Amino acid sequence: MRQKIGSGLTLGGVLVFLLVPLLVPNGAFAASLMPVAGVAWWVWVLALFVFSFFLGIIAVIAGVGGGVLFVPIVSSFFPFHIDYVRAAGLLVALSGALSAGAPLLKKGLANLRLGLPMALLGSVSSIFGALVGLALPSSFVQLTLGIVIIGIAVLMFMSKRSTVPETIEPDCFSQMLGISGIYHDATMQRDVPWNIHRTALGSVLFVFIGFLGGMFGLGAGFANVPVFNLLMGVPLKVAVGTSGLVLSINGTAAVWVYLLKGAVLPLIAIPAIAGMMAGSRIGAWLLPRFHPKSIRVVVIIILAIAGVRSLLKGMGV
Amino acid sequence: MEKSRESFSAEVERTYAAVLERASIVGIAAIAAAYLLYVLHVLPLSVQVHDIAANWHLGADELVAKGLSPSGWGWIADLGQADVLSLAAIGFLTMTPLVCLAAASASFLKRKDYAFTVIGLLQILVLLVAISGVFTSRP
Repeated sequence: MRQKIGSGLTLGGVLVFLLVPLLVPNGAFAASLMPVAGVAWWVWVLALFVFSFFLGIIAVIAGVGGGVLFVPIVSSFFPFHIDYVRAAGLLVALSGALSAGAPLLKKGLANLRLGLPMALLGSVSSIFGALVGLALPSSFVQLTLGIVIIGIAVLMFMSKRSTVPETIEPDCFSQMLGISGIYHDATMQRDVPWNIHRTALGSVLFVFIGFLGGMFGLGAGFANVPVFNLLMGVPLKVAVGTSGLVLSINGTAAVWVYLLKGAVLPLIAIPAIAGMMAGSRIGAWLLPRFHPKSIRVVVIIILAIAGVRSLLKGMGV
Repeated sequence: MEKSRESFSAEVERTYAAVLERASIVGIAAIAAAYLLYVLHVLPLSVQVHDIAANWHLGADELVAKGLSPSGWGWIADLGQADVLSLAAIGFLTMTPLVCLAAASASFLKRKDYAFTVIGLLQILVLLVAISGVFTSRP
């Protein structure tokens, strides 16, 4: 009981830390941030590290990869050009997934047979997405990002079943590839077997998601989770864990496009990576202690606010 | 049959997880060490930190044009400079999935799971193409 209260307070504190900046109008910060000459560079770097640490905790629990929150918030409140923020966002999502990957795989919360085919398709499209994203105006990217995120949040809000989907009949593709599994749900105190269906449609969507992830400089966990969970029938915890596996591979493919185009600045990227990796370790430790329903609520709230924020910024508001 | 496939999958996942755990620790240690060398000015820099901070509001194309950020693989010759070493460390960290995929593919092959061996090898090929810079090289 005391552990549950502690976990809830930790999560609540992190949420407040992340939501307050999102709710403040852009103009309130933009004017004071522009003349950065008076602020030492290390202040920005330290602030970025602290922000990324808290983001790391919430990103693993919410299964959103971090990049989807990192890019709109950092590009609004830090004096860096969005090119470096997008590259750092990809690296943040990637490093968070790498950091949390091993414990999630060991607990059966990330599944290779489910993740690898989707990652293969998504990584090819993410390379092309990154190339297109670097060629497009940043305002267009921001606007379309907002629309996509709000759409996903609405989809998750409307859905009635996602924690552990009802028993489903596996389709021929999933049977052919042997995609199924069992995981132990600590909150339900039982083993949960699962199968998947709609594998072909899911695969097509992962091509699309990979493209968007590369284009926006995001990990795309925000889209991986609902496709796994709502469309293909994967239990939410396995969807969250496997999403990290997929985005660690897709992120690698896309980030090299940014790196080879000169958009990766170690001065910005490394504090963000270090903060995210430290935070995501704590997030992975907290993940089994949360009920899937509370994870879903966190995902919806954060996605909706980050989506509106991105949309307004894309429209120049 | 179902049970043996589950236990086989769990075995491959443990292999992947073990490699991922070690490789990500090495990767993060590499970027932490390189970053300390960078910000503490232990090694010479190709671009001073205050020059980057004064220009980080500019886009990547502008920074590359000013010679403040490297593009392509040209930076590999300057690994003795701390900022370039930091960039290389980031590149090294992002190669973690490659090592994990190689281990998982070998594990799939050992158990004669040819479909997933091919998927693993194709994934490695895609990542190598991205890293090679074939699609990002300037004309």
